[in-house]
Amino acid sequence: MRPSEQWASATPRYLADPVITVDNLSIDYMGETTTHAVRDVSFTLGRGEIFGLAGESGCGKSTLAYGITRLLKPPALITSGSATFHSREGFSIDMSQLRGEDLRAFRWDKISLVFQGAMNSLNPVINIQAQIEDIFTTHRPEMGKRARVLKCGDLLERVGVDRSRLRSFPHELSGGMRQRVMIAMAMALDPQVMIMDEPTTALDVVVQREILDEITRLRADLGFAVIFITHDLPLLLEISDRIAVMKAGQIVEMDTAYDLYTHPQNDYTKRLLASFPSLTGDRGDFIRTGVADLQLTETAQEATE
Amino acid sequence: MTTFNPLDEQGAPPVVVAAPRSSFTQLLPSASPKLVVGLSIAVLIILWAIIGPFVVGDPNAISTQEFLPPGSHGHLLGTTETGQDVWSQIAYGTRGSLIIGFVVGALATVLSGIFGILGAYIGGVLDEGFALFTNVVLVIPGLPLVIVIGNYIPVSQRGIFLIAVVLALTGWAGSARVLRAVTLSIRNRDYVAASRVSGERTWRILVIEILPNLIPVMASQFVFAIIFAILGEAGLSFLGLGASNTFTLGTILFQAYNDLALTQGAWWWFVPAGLVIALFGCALSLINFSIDEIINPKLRNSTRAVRRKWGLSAAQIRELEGENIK
Amino acid sequence: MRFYLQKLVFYVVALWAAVTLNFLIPRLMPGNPVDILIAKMGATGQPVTPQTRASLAIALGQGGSTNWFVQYGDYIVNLFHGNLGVSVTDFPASVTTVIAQALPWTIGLIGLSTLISFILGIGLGVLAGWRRGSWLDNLIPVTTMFQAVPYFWLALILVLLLTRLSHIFPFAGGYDVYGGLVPGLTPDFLGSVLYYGFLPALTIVLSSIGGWMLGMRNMMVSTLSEDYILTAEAKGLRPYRVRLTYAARNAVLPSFSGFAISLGFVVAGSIVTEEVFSYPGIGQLLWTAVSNDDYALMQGIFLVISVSVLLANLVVDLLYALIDPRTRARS
Repeated sequence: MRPSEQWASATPRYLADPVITVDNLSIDYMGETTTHAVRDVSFTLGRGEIFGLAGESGCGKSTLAYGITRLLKPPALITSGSATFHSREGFSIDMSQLRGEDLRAFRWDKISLVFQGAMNSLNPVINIQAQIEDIFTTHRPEMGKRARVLKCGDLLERVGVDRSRLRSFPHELSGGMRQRVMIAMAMALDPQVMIMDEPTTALDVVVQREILDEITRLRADLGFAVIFITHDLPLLLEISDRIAVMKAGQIVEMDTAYDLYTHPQNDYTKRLLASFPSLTGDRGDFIRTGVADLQLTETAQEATE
Repeated sequence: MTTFNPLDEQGAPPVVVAAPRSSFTQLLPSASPKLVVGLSIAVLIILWAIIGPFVVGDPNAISTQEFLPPGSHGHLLGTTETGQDVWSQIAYGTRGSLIIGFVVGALATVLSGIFGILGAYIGGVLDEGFALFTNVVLVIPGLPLVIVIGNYIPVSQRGIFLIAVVLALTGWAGSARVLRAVTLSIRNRDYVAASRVSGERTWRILVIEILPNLIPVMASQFVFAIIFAILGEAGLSFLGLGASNTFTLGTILFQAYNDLALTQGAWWWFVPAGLVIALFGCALSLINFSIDEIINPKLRNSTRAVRRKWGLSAAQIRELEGENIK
Repeated sequence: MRFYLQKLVFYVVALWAAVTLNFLIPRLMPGNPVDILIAKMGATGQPVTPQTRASLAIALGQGGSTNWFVQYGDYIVNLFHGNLGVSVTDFPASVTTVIAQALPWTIGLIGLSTLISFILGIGLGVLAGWRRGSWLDNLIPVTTMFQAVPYFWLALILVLLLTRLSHIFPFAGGYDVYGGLVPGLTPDFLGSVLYYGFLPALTIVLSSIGGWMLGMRNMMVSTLSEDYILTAEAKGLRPYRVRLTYAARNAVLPSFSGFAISLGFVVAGSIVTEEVFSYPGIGQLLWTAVSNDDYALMQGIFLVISVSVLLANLVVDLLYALIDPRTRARS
């Protein structure tokens, strides 16, 4: 039975065991004219689920993720709604109410992030070890120095980077390595959710494949949920359990990956799916589901006549 | 004493790269209170410098009424040790100082442009040579050099323009270094590469693609050079190396100091000259602030006043501020 | 390694330039310094013999061969022996001795004031950049305005206010000469030095702090929008760590490299400040040399100032390479 079918039976698992519930969340960018970046978005993230968030640039997917984790900067403001975190220990926290010290302690421990373009996501003037270590010195002060260094090395090796790279500086690492370091940092406190914002967009396809394999392997080992944000829908179709398609700040369709691929309901979803060229099928076939782009095939036919 | 625009790792200010052939108005500063105040004061002083000397009396006219305090009949700001009218002297002095300021500003900008922009764009050995030359000039201390040179020049030949040239020659290096860094970073951007590949001529690329992005930086440096020149001239004159037969704010200060104005309590001779320099410098600094905000839009004001303008409630503003300082 | 070599080469070239400049200036300028001096001595009624002329000529480096290249060679050799000629002001004391007496005062005053100004300015800049829109932002125009004020005018106003109108501080000197204090590492002497040095230091700090503060604050604002700051905040790090190790550490870099440039300006300002406060440093010495047409001393001072500034620049450059790990990779 396909995993997605497992989800579709009885009460969907994501509802039975949710880790994040987002309720009618709206985020605006204040200014001379107010921009409604996220409009009334609701969804539930199941424990251990890979949830894909797809959409074109500017549709609000990153804003949504930052809003949930309270990383928005002025002039962005959450205007309504809430995001609740359900810890595996049994308690729930309304993330929009967290303040100050509580917010700081919550961060990274329960939800961590992997940003896009690790080119600039690492502090250029301190070495890798320092950057991973300060997660521990802040959140796990009871750890001794030796235990910390050991753990840092372990984390690196887990993502496939040699332990000796601890003393390197970010500019001495390749793009792929830097992204792996980011993933290692994200895993440091054994979080329950990892939000990944275009983690592989800036990398070449071979490295992309390696990183994705790494992520799915780690998820299988450690059981964290993933919100995977990208504009690359085919990628999501491959790795996600469920996918939400966003357009202009709203979720226009949300379904299991398989169902979204085979039976897209919304026009926009259909257009998105139609925009990715197919490797198989007739020349000019732009849709993987086999439905040809009528306009294009007609033109091709005219040309051959 | 120098102000630094924020620089990236190559030492280049993060220039807001306008799309090629963008409108000129995008480059103009927004009318913030700082800019308005700065411009008004600066314009007032410039007008005073131009019109003043035609309106006031003869600054050289000595009289027997020494050390009169301000307000004494006919002398708005009092008199000097030789009974000269301070008010007239200030008028002529402002003109002299401003002339030096603008001449040096122009000269230094041209020089820094040549050594900074041209060298960086052409690249290769020329660039290395120019860069080395710039750095050496930068590192050799300017004022002592000027003092030593200045001392060899006979007093009669020390005119305003000579002072201006000397100041320009010692003041262009810092700007050249910054311009070089900016040009290098722009030169590596995609749209310049595209122009080159599509066969555009060098001078066209320079003028149309690169120069418009340099204008805010150069404007800021021009303003800064003026401040540097006026202060530098004041310093030189104070040391006795200033222009010999023209009034500048520096020479007035020199005279006042030498004639023991302060010990005699004649503060009105000494204070106004420095005050004019300070005011003009402040005005120019304010203008520079506004230019800074063009160069780096992140500096634009997002204070409470602006946020209130957006129609946010007090609670929302507090919320925004709370989010900012996490 | 290549980086250090490049730096060394640069500083050697700069040093050579300064030294050669020093050699060329008197020879390129109109008028013969020896003649000017003789005329002056004659005017004051001092006896001038052919021997005086000859020794003066040698002291001013005009003696010996008339071939410039040979003179240059002699000049360089003399430099290596620390022989900068003879001072006319303090005849027959050597220029080296005279300078050696004045140099420590200037290094102490300038060095300390610049450091204080730098540290304070950077610190305030970090605060101002972190808390945007706060009252600190309003402090910036004020301090920047202090920068537009001529050093010496500010100094003289301070002198007027704090030494003549209210006798809080002394208005001249490096230490209490009349109180019978002898230079030495005694608390009395050092205390006196600090007391006398306070006003000149204050002038320098006030005039330059604005620049550091503004530069640092602008850079902080830029840096705070970088991606790694977002990462640091997302990691739940404490605010002070984000502010210091992530933001300030990166934001201070351009100011640091700019510190070297500003040294030249500081030297310039100090010359005037020392004159105003009659502070027994190099600046005042230069002033005296200029007034007395003491060419040998003037050139000696110029050389010493150049070398000091170059040395300071070199130190700052090396420090910079230490705090920014990308520098070595870039060269």
